[in-house]
Amino acid sequence: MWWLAIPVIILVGKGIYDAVTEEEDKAPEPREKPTRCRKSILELNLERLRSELQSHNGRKIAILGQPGAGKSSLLKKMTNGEVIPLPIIGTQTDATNWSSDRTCNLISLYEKYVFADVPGYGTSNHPTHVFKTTFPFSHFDAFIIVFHGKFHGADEEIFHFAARTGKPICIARSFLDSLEQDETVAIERDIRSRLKADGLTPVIFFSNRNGNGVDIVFNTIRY
Amino acid sequence: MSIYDEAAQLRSKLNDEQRNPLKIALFGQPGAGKSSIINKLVGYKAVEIGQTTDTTKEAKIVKWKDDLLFVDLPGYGTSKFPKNDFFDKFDINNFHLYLCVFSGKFHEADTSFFHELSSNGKICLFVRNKHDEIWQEGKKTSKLEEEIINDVCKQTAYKQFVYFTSCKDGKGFKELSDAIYNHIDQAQKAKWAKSAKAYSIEFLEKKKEACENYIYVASGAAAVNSINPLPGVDVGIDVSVLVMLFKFIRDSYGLTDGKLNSKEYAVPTLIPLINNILKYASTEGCIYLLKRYAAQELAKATLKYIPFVGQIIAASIGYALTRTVGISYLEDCHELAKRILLEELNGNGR
Repeated sequence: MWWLAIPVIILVGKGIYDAVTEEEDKAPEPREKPTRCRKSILELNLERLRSELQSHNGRKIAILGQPGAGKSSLLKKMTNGEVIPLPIIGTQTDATNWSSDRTCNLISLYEKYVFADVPGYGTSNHPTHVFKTTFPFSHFDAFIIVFHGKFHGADEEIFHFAARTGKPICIARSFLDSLEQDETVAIERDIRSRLKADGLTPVIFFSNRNGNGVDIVFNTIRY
Repeated sequence: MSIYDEAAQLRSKLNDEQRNPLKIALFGQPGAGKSSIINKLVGYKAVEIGQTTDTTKEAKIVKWKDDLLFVDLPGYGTSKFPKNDFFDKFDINNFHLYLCVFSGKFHEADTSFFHELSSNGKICLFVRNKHDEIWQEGKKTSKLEEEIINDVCKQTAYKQFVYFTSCKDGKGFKELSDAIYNHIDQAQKAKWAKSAKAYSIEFLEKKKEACENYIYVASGAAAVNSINPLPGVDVGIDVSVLVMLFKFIRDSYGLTDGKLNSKEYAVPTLIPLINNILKYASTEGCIYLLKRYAAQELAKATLKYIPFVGQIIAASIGYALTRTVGISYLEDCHELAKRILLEELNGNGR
């Protein structure tokens, strides 16, 4: 009865072949059809992230959040600039970019930690839905969700995906230096009621600018 | 054409203006500071600012003094607001100007909405809010500003001018307000000048001009509504229109009771002006002013018109009188607003 599998194998093989050739056909086109080809590269990179995580030992931590939330700066600050390689920090959109280079760096190492400084979700090159479907949440030991301004609907969704793994999550609000005391209280209360997060999920305020709170963020996911 | 017809026209013009406010749409990520920007532009807390979460599930509409209408649009292209319905639902094509407000990096929703706007030939200004938060280790602010501008150009695929603002220190609002003024047509310019907050002396002058035009229109209405001649003046003037006019002028300059009575302005140079403005604002104050100017106006009119019998003559004198009184009140308000603004500007400079 083994021959029954032949058509299935052929179909699968054709599918893989199509996917690969299409990828290569479209890859050289710049900016014209970003959704089609970039999405694929992002997805391939997310799959590569999965396998890279499997081959590394250590505590694996994902830093997730909106573009410009302060993820890369936080990583640099938490590790006193000793994480290797250093994250790319910039005010431009997609400073950390996983959508155009299939060999780009995905993880950074520091002591026993393996960090994934994930590009901000919700830009045209890094659509949120791709993260929801392809991001290897289950391969991480802890999550930091960074936000700036307001906690968006997308942050909430990503939080629930991370929460399903049962691993520790730290919600970190950047730009503490420009917040008043009563504002931090209001923000924390709001997040707790929205996420229905019990008292165990830490909501930490920090500032990349003066370093306040950065250690606290690190401590929540350290062990 | 009788003065009545003319007045009727003036009245309908007044009503039209009130019915068709200048409409500005703001879009951008939740938390970018759209509400704060609206408040800064009008110089008053017109919108409650939510510190928490993206609550913009509906378009938030902020009406300001009949003249301005701000609409804070909810996220474009989200599951709740699919792209194809968005333009119809929020009547997107009917705005005079669009502001894209961002405080971090560009989101897909902003980019695609901008492209949709520009393909419809709409004008969009880019506002990078929270300028005070622009900071990066080892980089100068000017360098970072440059990077942000480059990024906007790259994301939108057009060369763009970016207005940097900060609601904390008021940076950039003079420029933004002027830019809005420069990007709208003549009829709308008057509304903006009338109702937006002045961040410069030049803008105050524009405000004055807009108020003068309004006085012209309102005087016609006041005179023609004139039923009851004022005792001792013999000229019919509808004082209630004048009271409204005074209120209008004060509102335009943002000289609210609360502001005028606040300790901040209790300085010797301002107090006499403030007292006048407050005093004339009441019905009694209006009548007092009218009487004061009535003698002047009557002297101008040739003697043969006295006594005023015909309503037409009374109305035309009433018109001139109302206008004179209006302008005099405007001068007072303008002077006060100018001094207050100079204080503010000096205060910031220090």
